[in-house]
Amino acid sequence: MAQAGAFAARANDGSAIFFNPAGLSFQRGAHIMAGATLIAPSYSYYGPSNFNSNEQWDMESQVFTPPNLYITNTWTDGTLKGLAIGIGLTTPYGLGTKWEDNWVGRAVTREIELQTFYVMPTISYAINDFISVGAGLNIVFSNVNLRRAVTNFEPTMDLELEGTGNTAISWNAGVMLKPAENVSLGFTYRAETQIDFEGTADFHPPASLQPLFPGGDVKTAIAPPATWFAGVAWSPFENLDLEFDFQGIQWSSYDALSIDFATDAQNTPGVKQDDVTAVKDYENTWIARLGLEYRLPGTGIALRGGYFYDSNPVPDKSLEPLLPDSDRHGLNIGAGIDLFSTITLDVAYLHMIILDRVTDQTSYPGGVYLDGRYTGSADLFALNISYAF
Amino acid sequence: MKKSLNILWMMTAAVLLMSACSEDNPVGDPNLGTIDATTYVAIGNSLTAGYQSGALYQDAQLYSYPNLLAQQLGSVGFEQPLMPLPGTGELRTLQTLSPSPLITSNGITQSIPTNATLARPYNNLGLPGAIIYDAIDESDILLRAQQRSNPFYMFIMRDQQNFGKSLVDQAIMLNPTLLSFWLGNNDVLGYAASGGVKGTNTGVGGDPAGTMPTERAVFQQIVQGAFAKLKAALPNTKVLVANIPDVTSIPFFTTVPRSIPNPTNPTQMLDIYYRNKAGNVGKVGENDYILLTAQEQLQKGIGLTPNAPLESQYVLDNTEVSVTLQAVTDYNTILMTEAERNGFVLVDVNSALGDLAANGYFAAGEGYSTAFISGGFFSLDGIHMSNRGAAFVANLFIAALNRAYGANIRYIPFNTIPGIAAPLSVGTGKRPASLWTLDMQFPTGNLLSIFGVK
Repeated sequence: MAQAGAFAARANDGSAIFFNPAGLSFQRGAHIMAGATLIAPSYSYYGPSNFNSNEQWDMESQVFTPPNLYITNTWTDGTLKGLAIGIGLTTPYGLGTKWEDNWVGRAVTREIELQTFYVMPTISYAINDFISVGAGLNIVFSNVNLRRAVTNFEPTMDLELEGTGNTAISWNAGVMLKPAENVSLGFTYRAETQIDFEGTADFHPPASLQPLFPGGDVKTAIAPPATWFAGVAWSPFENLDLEFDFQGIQWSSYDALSIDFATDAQNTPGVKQDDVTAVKDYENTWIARLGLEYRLPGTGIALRGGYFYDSNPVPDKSLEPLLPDSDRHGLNIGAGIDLFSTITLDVAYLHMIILDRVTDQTSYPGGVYLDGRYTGSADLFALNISYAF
Repeated sequence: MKKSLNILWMMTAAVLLMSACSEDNPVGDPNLGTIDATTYVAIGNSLTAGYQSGALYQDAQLYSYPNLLAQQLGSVGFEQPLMPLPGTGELRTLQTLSPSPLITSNGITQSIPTNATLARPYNNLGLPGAIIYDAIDESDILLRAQQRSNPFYMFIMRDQQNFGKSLVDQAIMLNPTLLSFWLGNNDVLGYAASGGVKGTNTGVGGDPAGTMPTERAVFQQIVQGAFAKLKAALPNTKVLVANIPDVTSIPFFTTVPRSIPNPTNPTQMLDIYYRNKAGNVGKVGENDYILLTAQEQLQKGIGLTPNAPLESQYVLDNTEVSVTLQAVTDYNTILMTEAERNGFVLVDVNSALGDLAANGYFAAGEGYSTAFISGGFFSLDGIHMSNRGAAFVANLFIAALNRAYGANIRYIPFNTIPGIAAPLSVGTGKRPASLWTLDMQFPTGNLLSIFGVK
């Protein structure tokens, strides 16, 4: 992460499984890389402006620590020369927002937590010194937890949805080219993953409302979108690498979120809970990433830096506190330190400047009717240890 | 190395510059514009008083729209005749919603306001049952209370000698800087809620007195008199005038369906019969409204055959609907014209309720409608606003103030206001085929007396 994610054209450590599987076969020997990223986001909401208010409401501070593990082996001689295999365990789509319990948007959301766990068996082959290819399976395990208030009656209710995703299968693939000694190119693609969630809903109603809101089985689906990277890395002089990556994300596949109750007002008279479909209409987005690494000669220390600009997929009308996304700038510094000949420590710090976002478009049938301004930032710390056999 | 650090530094600077010109808050700081909120007084009827679910009681009065408005304005010392539970009237509570709604009351009760000795008129001069004439009527309140079997005159107006003889007089005595006026609802509701049987007309128009909505000419004369008096006594006071909503869109008229499932065979729909004012029996048609009070009759089987029709007071038939709507239109024309003439600001409650009935209303993840109970904006009598319904009305007043006086007053977000109290108990038994069925129970008791209808 230390180079703002600009890594697809080099992918020269275990995280190649995630960034570009083709990078594996240009590596040497067997490696284990294990680590975690500590993510501390912070958001505030000012509003609701549709109630002419600017009152500040804060998201509760939470810290997420998605772990990652990569185990790889690249054969550098013999009959398997040029072949590499690996397995990665990552949690790329970990998300959580939690607002103060009595905040003004509590009927929209109090809390969401989405956890995904990717197992990625990967294979890569270097056709020659100039070109390699790679592909991996993405086996995805996930669960989701949603909570919001239902305030029509006093005392209010708290709708909680808990779901476990099916074992979803997807794939990724990449190509890496080295047309010149100091230039490499990478292209990678990850397919959309369709995750179907099944779980239970509980409104936590007062006893007298239990017959109207019995909760019970519920279904929903989320699809992390397809994404591709195109990157070029250039080494203008010895020990310095620069890389520029362009990433496209096919968020337009996220057009609606549906929640389907097994027992609902349509099929069970007297019941008031009902299916909902929220229109999202996300837009395709891109991220531009710039990374650099400078290896201090003779020290075993690499200094890294990076910057990315991430345009957000959320149209004004779908901007909501569940996922108050906005365009973001990422500023990254980090270092790799060879502790021993076989052990490398990678550390990185990323500060995300999340641009203020204002919406006055959420009032339409099916919208959340919660206009206002969102501000935010996030800090990320990553630590990885690699062992070379 | 140095070069690369320079690049990093430049990128940092560029990003900081970009974040410095982020978007501003979309809403300006709160301000009152040219409004002086020192003393706010509200003239009105039960809707202004904070009457809910058949009674006037403290828990509901705290959420009366004038009290909510006073809070948003930061107006201190807004005094209301707070009545401790059980309140005055016939308070209804929601017993259960399943298998169908059951609303009960403990009969008629009376409470003395906790601040009954306040040595000045109340800021909330919402007098349940008041008709337009009460704005300027200077006659003895004891007499009026007896004639109209309405206890609220004594509680709200109290001391005619020292506080003023009419509602307008009492308002003037407080020398308000801001005044709201919302009267006239009962001049048409008294007629409509009695199924067109009773009314508040004086008889000057030719119809027998007490059989029709207040005559247009009478209404106009009273409004002109009241507004002229206010204008003369309070030339610098800002005055809001709310108009009369179309009463036929409220749940009291729209909840009971025009045909109901046969209790023994729920797939079969039964027609409902009624006797009109002229004595003729017919089916309830799609332009007729069955009143909420009729369901007690329907439970007894009355109205399900031509031989035992609902009596006229349970149905507002299409002829009576026309009379009702004409009265609403007439009154609103008068209120608008006279408000304009005096430089008062109109609050168009009628349009807002029409929009609510047609499209619903949504705010911060919650939806509202004119539906009984589930709609969220009407209390358990089907006529008066709930806490949140009062907030909806207060927001209409705020919108009018913001527009007219360059103010920027915050609206009330509904989820800071308690919703309808959840039912007390769990229902048992088989679920009905629809929300409304014959087992829906609703006390009818004392509902009409508060409209000032004899």
